[in-house]
Amino acid sequence: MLLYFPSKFDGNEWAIILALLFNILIFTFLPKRIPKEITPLLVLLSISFPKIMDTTLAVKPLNLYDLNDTSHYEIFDLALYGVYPAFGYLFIYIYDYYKFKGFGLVVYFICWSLAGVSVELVLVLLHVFVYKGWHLIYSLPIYILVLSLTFLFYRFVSNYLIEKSQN
Amino acid sequence: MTLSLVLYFLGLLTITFCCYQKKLHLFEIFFIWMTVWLITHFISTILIINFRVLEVSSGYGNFGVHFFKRFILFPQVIVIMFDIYLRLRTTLLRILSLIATVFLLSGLEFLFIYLGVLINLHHRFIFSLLEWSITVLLALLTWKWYRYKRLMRYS
Repeated sequence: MLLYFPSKFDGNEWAIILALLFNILIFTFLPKRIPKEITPLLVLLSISFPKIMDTTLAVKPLNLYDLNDTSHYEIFDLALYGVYPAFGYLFIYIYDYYKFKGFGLVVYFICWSLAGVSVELVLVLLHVFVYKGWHLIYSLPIYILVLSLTFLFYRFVSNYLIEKSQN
Repeated sequence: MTLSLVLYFLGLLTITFCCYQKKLHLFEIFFIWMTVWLITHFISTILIINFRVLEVSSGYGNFGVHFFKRFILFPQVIVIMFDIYLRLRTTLLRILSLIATVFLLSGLEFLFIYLGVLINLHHRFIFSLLEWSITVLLALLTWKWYRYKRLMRYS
């Protein structure tokens, strides 16, 4: 089968649907602040990091966790793609609004990495992620790395855009 | 040994890629690269886990090759082919370049089967052509949307 249906419709499916709705609300109603050339790149980057992790760590030979009900690829595994964009987008959006610098920026990174781990904990409790060798604490350095890369990517592309528009 | 050779080849390809003058905007390269990441990871997971036509070799070296080919090689090939696509002036040549891209990527997939990175369970060349046709077409459509609707580049 191309994509499997969930074995039962319970907490993990509802969590994904609610997260998708949250994403739709964010991208529909939040005033546009990030340049329209950069927004699709941020969305793609926010999806790419976790999906590359999932298709690397959650499959053989590592097989450290499962997504949703079964080890097959389900419709809700695909829907999970739509859960991630708001995380990266809001991280950049709030940074762009307040323009944190120095120690404030460090605190901002700490807050977002803790928020990421907290959301992941909720998703683990709802069986969106079923750990088979992975631990929540392993995710903490991953979040710092991913947030730093997203931040550096945004700084690079926004500076590039400004430079190009001046020439 | 396969991992070392593949990494060497990827390094050379990346250096060449960085050195030549491209017609694509830098943001288009980022966009195509990440779109191809998502499509290839999705489709290869379906082929390996749901359809069971392919299997990744259990050795960590081969798994490393499998990771790097999806992470660097396939997106880079598609970006280069789309750059060539932009340089071509007629529709016929552009369609031929897309067909060549599909055959090149299918050939590369069978090369990795030959090298033992992927284990062929029931995979056929026609499946591979279908897989890469979908990937190239989706990447092309999303890239065109980004180019015309977001970057406003018409030349």
